[in-house]
This record gives sequence, structure tokens and C-alpha cells, in this order.
Amino acid sequence: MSAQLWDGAGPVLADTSAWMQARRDPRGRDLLLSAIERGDVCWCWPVRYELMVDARGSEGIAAVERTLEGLREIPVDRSVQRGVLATMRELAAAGSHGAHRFPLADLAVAAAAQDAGIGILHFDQHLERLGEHLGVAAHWISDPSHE
Amino acid sequence: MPSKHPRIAVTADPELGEALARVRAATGTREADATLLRRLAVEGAEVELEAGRNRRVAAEALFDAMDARQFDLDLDAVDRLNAPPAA
Repeated sequence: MSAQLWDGAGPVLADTSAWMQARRDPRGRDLLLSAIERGDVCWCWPVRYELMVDARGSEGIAAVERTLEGLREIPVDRSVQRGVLATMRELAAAGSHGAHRFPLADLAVAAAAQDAGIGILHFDQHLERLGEHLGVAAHWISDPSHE
Repeated sequence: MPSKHPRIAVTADPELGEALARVRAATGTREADATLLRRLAVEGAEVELEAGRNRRVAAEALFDAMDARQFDLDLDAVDRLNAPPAA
């Protein structure tokens, strides 16, 4: 797998997987924190939902809320939702049976980043493939071959 | 006022004009446009930097919460997803 490892440049829409991976990768965490301080990290609703679901209770939820409230929101509006549907159609038409079956949050993140004209920060091969399909720069927060 | 420092040209577009007008209306300042603009730029820079520091503090607290196991993060599942297919 040839990974495009993130160099810290933004702006990027950080997927849930990037937040998770930054927890255990000091390099990724440092880069992410610096980009957050510069205002180069964005969020969208599916990522917020997933982070809140992963929280075990109200303290974790509050930490998610405080963090994301300071960052730029990338809309998941009608245009993005139509983009998700179009992407699924394209994938189904171009690939084998079930080629469109990506996690819905990943599809929404990729379509939102495309609509906003920014890159994706992730640790998830689904987003690597979606970024390639949509022509969106997809950056691994860590090298997946090292985990 | 003459200055030994270089000047920065700023386009006085409607957005900038409205911003200055809002500050004048809210504060009653009678500063000249250039003086007001300079003060707002200097103060705005500090506000911007402070906002960045606050963003970082909030994110560090989120990672602290993750480190304290306040989240169920299935990183093994992520690794399985990213693993190359078995030969």
C-alpha cells in the first residue's frame, strides 16, 4: 500500500479514524494539534456523531463538543447528500457486485470534503479509495503499514 | 502622519467599510479609518492567536480523555480494515 502520509498541511477534514489514530501515534497527534491551533482542521456531522458514540459517558462527550465547537464545520447539506448518492451510483456501475458498499459516514466525509474543496485526513483505507475515486486529496495520518 | 515604516495597502471594499461602521456604532470611537484599522488588526491578531491556543487546549483535553479510557476506540478493527489482503 503506497500511503500518502500527512505532512501537517491543511485545511483538512479529519475523519473519525484520524482522531482515533492520533490517540496512539505521537507524531500524528503532534501534527494534528498544530493544525488545530492554526485552524486548519475541520469537522462534519458524521464525524461528530461517531466520536460521541465512541465516548463512554458525558465527560467524553463534553470533550468532543468543546473540541469541535472551535473548529470549522464542513456542511453535510443537500448538495453533499446528492454527492453521496452519485458516488454510490458511479461505484456500482464501475465495479463488481457491492462495489458501492462503503460505510455511510465515510461516503459523507468524502463527499463533504469534495464539495468544500479540501483534503481528507484519515486512517481508513475506505477513505483512501473514496478520495481516489472523487479526486480528493486523502492523507494518512500515520503509515498504515507500520501498525 | 509620516512614518519610517512601510505602508500596507488595504482595499476599502464594502465588507471592510461595514465592519468599521459596526465598530464605530458599537463603541462610539472617532478614530480615523487607518488608525482604527491598525488597532483592530493588532487586537485581532491577539484574538486569533488566543483562539488557536484555546482550540489546542480543547483538543489536548480530548486526547487526555481518550488516554483515560473514556472512549471505546476499536483500533484493532481499524488495523484489520487497513491490513493488506492475505496472500
